[in-house]
Amino acid sequence: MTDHSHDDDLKHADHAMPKPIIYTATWIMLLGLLFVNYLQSQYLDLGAFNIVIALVICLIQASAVVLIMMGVNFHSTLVKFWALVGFVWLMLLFTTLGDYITRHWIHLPQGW
Amino acid sequence: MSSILLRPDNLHGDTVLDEPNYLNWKSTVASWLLTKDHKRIAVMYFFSISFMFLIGGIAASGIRLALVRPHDTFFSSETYDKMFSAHGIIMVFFFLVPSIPATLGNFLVPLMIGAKDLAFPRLNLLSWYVYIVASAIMLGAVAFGGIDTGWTFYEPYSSIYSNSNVVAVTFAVFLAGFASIMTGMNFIVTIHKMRAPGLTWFRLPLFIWGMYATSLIMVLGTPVVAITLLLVTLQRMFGLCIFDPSCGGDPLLFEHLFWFYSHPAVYIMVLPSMAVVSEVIACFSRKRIFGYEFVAFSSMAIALLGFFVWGHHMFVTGESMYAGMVFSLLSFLIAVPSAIKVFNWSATLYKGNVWLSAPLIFAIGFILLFTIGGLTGLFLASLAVDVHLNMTYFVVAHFHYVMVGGAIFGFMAGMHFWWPKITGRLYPEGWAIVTAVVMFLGFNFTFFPQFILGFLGMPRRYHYYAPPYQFWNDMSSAGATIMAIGFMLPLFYWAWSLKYGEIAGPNPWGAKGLEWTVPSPPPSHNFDEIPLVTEEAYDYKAIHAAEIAGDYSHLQFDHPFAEAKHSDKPTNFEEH
Amino acid sequence: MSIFELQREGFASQRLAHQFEEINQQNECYIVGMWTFLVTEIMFFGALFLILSLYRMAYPASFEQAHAVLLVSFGLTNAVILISGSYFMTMCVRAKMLGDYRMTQLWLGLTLLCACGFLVVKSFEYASEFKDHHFPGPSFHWETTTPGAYTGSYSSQFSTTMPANAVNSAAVSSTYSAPVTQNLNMHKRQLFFSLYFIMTGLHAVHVIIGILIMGTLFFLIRYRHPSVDDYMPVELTGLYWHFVDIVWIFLFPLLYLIGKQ
Ligand SMILES: [Cu+2]
Repeated sequence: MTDHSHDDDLKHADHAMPKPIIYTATWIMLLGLLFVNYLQSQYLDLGAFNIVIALVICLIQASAVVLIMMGVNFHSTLVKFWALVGFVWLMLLFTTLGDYITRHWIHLPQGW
Repeated sequence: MSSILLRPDNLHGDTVLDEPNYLNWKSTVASWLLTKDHKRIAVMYFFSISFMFLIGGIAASGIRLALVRPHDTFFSSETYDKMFSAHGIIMVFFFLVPSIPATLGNFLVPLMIGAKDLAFPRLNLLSWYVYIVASAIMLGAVAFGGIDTGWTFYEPYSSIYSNSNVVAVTFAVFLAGFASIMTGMNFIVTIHKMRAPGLTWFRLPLFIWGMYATSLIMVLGTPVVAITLLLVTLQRMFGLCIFDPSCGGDPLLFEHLFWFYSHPAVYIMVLPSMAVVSEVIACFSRKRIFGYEFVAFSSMAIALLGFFVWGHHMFVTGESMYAGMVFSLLSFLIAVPSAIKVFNWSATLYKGNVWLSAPLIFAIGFILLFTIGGLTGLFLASLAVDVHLNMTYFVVAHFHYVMVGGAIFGFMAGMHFWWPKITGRLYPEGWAIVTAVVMFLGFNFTFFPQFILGFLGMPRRYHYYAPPYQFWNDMSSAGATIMAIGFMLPLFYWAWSLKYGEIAGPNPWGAKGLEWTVPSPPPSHNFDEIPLVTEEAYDYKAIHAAEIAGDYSHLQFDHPFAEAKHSDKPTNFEEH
Repeated sequence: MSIFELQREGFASQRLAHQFEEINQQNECYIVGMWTFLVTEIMFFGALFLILSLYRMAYPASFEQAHAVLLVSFGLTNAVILISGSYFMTMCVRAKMLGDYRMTQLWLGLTLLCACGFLVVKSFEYASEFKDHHFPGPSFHWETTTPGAYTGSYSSQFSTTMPANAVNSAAVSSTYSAPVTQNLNMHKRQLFFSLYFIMTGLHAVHVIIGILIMGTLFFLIRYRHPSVDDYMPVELTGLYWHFVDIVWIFLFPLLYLIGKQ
């Protein structure tokens, strides 16, 4: 690429990139977690904790994809901020559940 | 003194407009349709939304005409339903949401922050095309049968019982949503990354803060309404059930998801107007805006807090009582940042060297109407009062005070304020002032009676009503006529000014801000070289001092009003 | 030892667009822009996940029975395919950043293969579900081996407030309780399958869009088109593709795995 360097139009960015082994390790970890999730759901019934385990595993997987594969960890604060915004705002949307959870707290008179 | 007024001779005639600028660099149709210049896209957006405003306005006239008499004199009930639905949908999704961001925002954001263009010019053009396709589908749907669900598309009516063009219209709104998402993404990235050197966040014009807050809402809220309307479409097309009670679905869930966007959408409409008003008031009172940081942060507070109050639309539709209490409280809280803005604008005007020009009159109209709209919002946010007022004309009047009195007066203020920058020519000041007054009076005549109607209990969305409501309805319709005249006037004098208006020069108002440092109309590339910003926004001290001393040399034209000031101000000063 | 390698010298060069001042600004603009787009995607799918959680909480029994007929092996295969696709995509982006066209093409080809494989598996799955009349609507049909499985379906948490349950409890007290209740439970399974088809369907639409973008990129890169001199198009496509992967990471367990509560 150095033969382009005389061209004013072509620029080089300051950029760091993780070694490929990091990606490969992430890949293997993701597949491992996937199978843990699968095996747990098929062979180990923990009742109410099934969903907790599944969600925790999902969150770890998603964080790995976001932070490593999508490179958020290696980018600027601004990118980190915007990567976070979506997930935080989704939590706000989920407060809608509060309405449904509290609806049966009060008993309305018959006919309502 | 009179008309000589410091205007360089080369500003006379058309010569100055022959300089290369964004309007004249090429005039083929293709050069407009394929342009990536944010200024041209802004102009194209202006014409498109104005056309949609006209259609929505015709529907509004039909509504007011129908309500003159409580019978089917003019329209059948079905036609009436379709008219108010078309009016609401077109005005909200096709005019108010894109109004200021897509026109003035598109035009001014790069100019104000010292950038050559938005970060993604092609995305910007795509946004316009998506908007055009959406509008075409919408107009087609209205032409071939219309829609009768109201602008809220409430379930299960919209998915099962309505026989009108729900699929086409929801799809059109879905597309229009994406057009505004694209604008929002563009602004966010541009404001973060493209500011000129030295232009820190707290040196930004408040217009930019307002645009940033608006873009946040567009990006965070619009996808939710998009998916919700998509679900309605899927229910109608494939018989799927999501909100359908007959298979266990909850229609109220639709309302949750719809208002999760549509309440913040009110702030998409009104935050840009507030942004415009901040600029106009600072300029025409010749003062730094009072409490700059508070105004800036109140924009952000409104954008974020606006997401926490959507449940106030569902107090009487079956939402949990506890949720109602929380939403009521939060809705009261959001009045705080809005009030901060109103107080700070008033404080800015206080002891300023106020120049009562047309944009400022529109801006003051905005403050008055928005204050009424905001305060009546508090009535509706109170749980008990809402039981009486919900679904009455009180609600209609309230949101028209916010969305017409607020958003459109802000839009008019901004269009007049930056008209010289956009076209290179001045509009006729006298006509503009007349328009502002006519619109203000017409507006209040139209919508104040509706507060009374609502308080007396007239429900919205019906065109039959009991005899006691007759008088107020007639008054409202009469007011609507005045308002319609007010809206027609700019059409004529703006068109006139394009040919005969006075040449504006780069900075006709003596305003501060990077956009006023470039020629009017600006060249395609905006800045010959990227400016270095060394001062805060609204540094009007020098101008203020000069004007008090009778020196108007910073005004480069003999605008009638400026001339009047010019001739009597020095004598006033002498008397002191 | 650093996990990083290769600072600027090794990188492929880029072209500066007219609106930008310098290359780092341009790169960051594109990345942040893509992330704001992904934010909208998160909210878009997030609303669906909200609906899924809500109805799951309301009708746990019906949802559990309904989910049991999904073909877990198909879902699992697709999860493996997508996660691997994501990995190939990162390697593709890396190769493009280094200006290695041959490897870029190889990794991108593998990713495309994964994407198409996903659709093939998914279409077999859909076909079998259509065959069993699990698509909601008039033709929806529910075969059961154990009739007793229907009882208990109306033990909803929100029984006093959800509209259908109002009908439900009314129905229970009436003479025709049994058939009506059974009917309602069948309808709630339709609710599950509506969500299943909408969520996986929208995800599949995203996969198709991904295939179109990656296919275009593949040919542009193959013929060394100047528009892909820059690595940014590949990088942004990568971000999009990882997002599609993340959606499936959540969809797979929530639809296929979590049954018993
Ligand atoms: Cu609201």
